[in-house]
Amino acid sequence: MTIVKVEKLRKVYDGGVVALDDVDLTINDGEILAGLGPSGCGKTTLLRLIAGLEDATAGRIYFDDRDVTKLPTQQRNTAVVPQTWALWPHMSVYDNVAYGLRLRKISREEERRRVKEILELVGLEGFEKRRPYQLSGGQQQRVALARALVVQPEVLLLDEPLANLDAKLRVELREEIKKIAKKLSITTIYVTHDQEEAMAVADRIAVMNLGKIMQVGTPEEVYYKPANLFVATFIGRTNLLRGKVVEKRGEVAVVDVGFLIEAEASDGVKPGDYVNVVVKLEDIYVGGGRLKCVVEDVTFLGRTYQTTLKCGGNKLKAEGLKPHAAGGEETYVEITRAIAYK
Amino acid sequence: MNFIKASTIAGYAFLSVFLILPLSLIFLQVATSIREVYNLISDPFYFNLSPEAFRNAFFIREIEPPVVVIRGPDLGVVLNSLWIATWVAVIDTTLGFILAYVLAKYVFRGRTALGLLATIPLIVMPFATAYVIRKILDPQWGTLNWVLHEVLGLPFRVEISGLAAVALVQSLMYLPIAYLNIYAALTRVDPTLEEVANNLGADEGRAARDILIPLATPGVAAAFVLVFIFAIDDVAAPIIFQDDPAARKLLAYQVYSKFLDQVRGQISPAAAFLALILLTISIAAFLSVRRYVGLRQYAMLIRQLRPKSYKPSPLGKVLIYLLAFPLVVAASTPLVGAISLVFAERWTITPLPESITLENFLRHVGWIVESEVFRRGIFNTIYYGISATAIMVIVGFLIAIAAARSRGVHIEALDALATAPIAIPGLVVAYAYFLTSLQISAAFKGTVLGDVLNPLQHPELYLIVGYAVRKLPFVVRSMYAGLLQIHKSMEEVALNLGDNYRGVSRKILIPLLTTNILSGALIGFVYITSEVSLSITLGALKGVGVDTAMPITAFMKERFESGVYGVQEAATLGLVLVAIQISAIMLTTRVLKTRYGFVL
Ligand SMILES: Nc1ncnc2c1ncn2[C@@H]1O[C@H](COP(=O)(O)OP(=O)(O)OP(=O)(O)O)[C@@H](O)[C@H]1O
Ligand SMILES: [Mg+2]
Repeated sequence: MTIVKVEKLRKVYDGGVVALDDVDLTINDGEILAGLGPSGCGKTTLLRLIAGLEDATAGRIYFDDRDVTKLPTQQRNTAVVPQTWALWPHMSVYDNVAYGLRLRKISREEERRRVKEILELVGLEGFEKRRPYQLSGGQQQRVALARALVVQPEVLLLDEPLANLDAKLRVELREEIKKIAKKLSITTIYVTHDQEEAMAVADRIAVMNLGKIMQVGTPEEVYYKPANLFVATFIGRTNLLRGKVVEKRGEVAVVDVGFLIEAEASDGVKPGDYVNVVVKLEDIYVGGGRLKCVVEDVTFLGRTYQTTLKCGGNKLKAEGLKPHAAGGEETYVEITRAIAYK
Repeated sequence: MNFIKASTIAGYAFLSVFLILPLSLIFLQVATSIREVYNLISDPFYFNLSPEAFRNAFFIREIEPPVVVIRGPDLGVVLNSLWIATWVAVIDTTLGFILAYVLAKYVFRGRTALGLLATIPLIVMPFATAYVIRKILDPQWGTLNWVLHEVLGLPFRVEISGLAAVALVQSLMYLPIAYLNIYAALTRVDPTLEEVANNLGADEGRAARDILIPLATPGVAAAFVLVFIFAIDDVAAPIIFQDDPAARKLLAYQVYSKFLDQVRGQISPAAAFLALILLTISIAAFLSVRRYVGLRQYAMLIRQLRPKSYKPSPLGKVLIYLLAFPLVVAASTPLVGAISLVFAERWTITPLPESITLENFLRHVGWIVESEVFRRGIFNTIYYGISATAIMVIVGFLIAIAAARSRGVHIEALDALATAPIAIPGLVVAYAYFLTSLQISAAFKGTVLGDVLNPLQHPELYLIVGYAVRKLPFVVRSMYAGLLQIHKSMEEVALNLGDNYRGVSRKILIPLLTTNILSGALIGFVYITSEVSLSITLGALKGVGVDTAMPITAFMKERFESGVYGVQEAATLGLVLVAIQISAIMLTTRVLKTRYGFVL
């Protein structure tokens, strides 16, 4: 039952790297927020600051109304699952999970009950006596999760918890993590650089870059209404075109990128500006429309086809369910949606 | 026959002829005189657990002012060696752990300085540490009592002497070895493991107890045993304190003095028997941590994780400023004292060295430079160092390549054999070589070869080979660690192109291994030049003439024993030795263009 609020949070490491640059962020009670961004953007740093494993250079962190900025990690009642899981190799699964409970001085009986309960929840009953190295990657991940959850933390902090697993297991486990976090209605921050994973688990996504939050919104919002050029190009698969705004009709800018394209004008875009136009691969329909292009290549990706096109001097990629044209052919395409950014 | 097989055989051949064979002569000598040996061990001189043994361990001498006397129990030669080595290992492991912990864990003002200070005692001036501490502890003129009694005005004096003094000296000498090994072990534990514990509510001490210490235990255990072995094998400290009969009642000293008796023609099976006990204890200790000190483990040890650093907790601050700093200052005091001897007029009946001037320094250096005998000693040290290093590099390379590129019981055994000299006391090697050399020269008696191989005329040969065997493990380790970094596919590609393995070694491995070969050679050279046991035994067989075979360390012992001005000469020789070592380090650093870090 905790709202996490971060205000003007700043972290400068020794050596001058600005890992977090005045970050403002609120995570609602019971919400799963995904921190999404490229490598080095400060995701881990944000988690470590919220967990109290690193001191903030400036700014405040609140859990509900309590200012926890200066509180040591031991007293924050958060639980971290690091990217490497950091299971203790010299302890059994049971001891790993029970460790946090033992620090809380509860009775042996209660301890056993809660460990059993949580191991059942993550599907690891019967593995109590094993050592971490006797488990598969997925099982190790579950132990790390159980160890974090068993202490009933106010905030669960997951740092790329699935990065060391294969693709299939990742999909399976991310759903499980979501289910468990929701069942316990625990406020969760889930950091990842995998956008599909972020979309799948999160209620809301905070897109980060260079220590700054670029946009916070539901998966649909960041996908369909990217707030800026970075988010637009980072989320989904996109084409990036550059051109001059020749006309503006209401919220629509007509941009000359070699051909004329109608794009939603983001803030501040006016006629005469040189702008970036972002077009998602799936927003280009091949096999009918106003724009004449030459098909260079068609690749089957499994389920979808990717078509590489040459249109008015621009190279475009499109993705669709059917291969509407073959390599070398001329075809017409329709760009159904584009956004222009200054 | 392929190259790896040949390397394996060469490794076995070298170690069999130069290590196993000589050692087995000791067994033989003990076996042939088992009755005398039995009489020996029933003498309380060797084992004494009667209440008498503890009577002088600690008491107050009722004079004015009263003197608190700490001498340690005298349990007889064998048990003395055991308790002192155990004590030194316990103290050094504990203090070394604290030092390593604060340095591995915390960021604080003066951290670099502390780290540097902690490694300074690695610069060894043999005998000098012990000598300076003897001056400090001297019950009458010593610095300690001057500070306690005159400066602080305490109403009593303190006398630390006999075995207790030896234990103190050894604790200060071997602290850096404990510290460096434990530091390596601690930094190998992923800091995230502790962080998770902290995050779940464990405070720093609890996380250290539950996570860090259990995971670092192998490294700490290895450090403990290494210090134990170094202490039980040490002969320098007992020699400096030999005026006190109790300080002579140690295995290493006894082997040494029996060796001298034997050289004088007085054959006694006691030497062999004591050497055998010393060897057995050291090897048993070594075997107990064998798993952690093998080549493979060592290679893992030097691949360190970057430690994460924390601001010290209040307890941490106490440890840093009230324990770690005073500790490293205390541990480097002997070296400072030894160097000040070189600049001092004298240090006899004053608490501190007298009139420290540059003139004195130049005069002392002049003594050394002008003496033909000392120049010969310096030459010997360099000559032995270079020759033995060359042997170690060649043999070490063959063994390292065999160990890194093939598997099997025979390779495990080779690994064990090549690392075993860490645990074989230098005096035991010296004694074994002496026995062997007598046999060999007797076999060729009357021929030219008989003269060449006579240890009394030409101890150099035995010395060089002995040095190479003793310090081989350090060189092998360095090259082995390097070989593990080189992926096998690099060799395979070349082999695939039709080259043979010898060609591959020459054209691919050796160039890639330059760093490891050179740093291994450097470690070997530095250790050899400061080696004591062989130097003062085999090295002294020929005496002190102008054609002497004694290296610098043997001269240092001889000079420290000889009294007033000899001490200045000994310290100056020590400085020359350090200068040689530092030149070697700088030269290597220059060639490698890297900063060189010492790890045992
Ligand atoms: N202890 C540290 N000291 C100095 N700089 C650091 C430290 N930890 C991280 N940084 C730097 O801070 C920036 C943010 O790092 P952070 O680990 O938070 O990124 P991340 O988003 O988690 O990246 P990844 O996806 O690769 O895990 C990077 O430029 C990184 O190099
Ligand atoms: Mg990260």
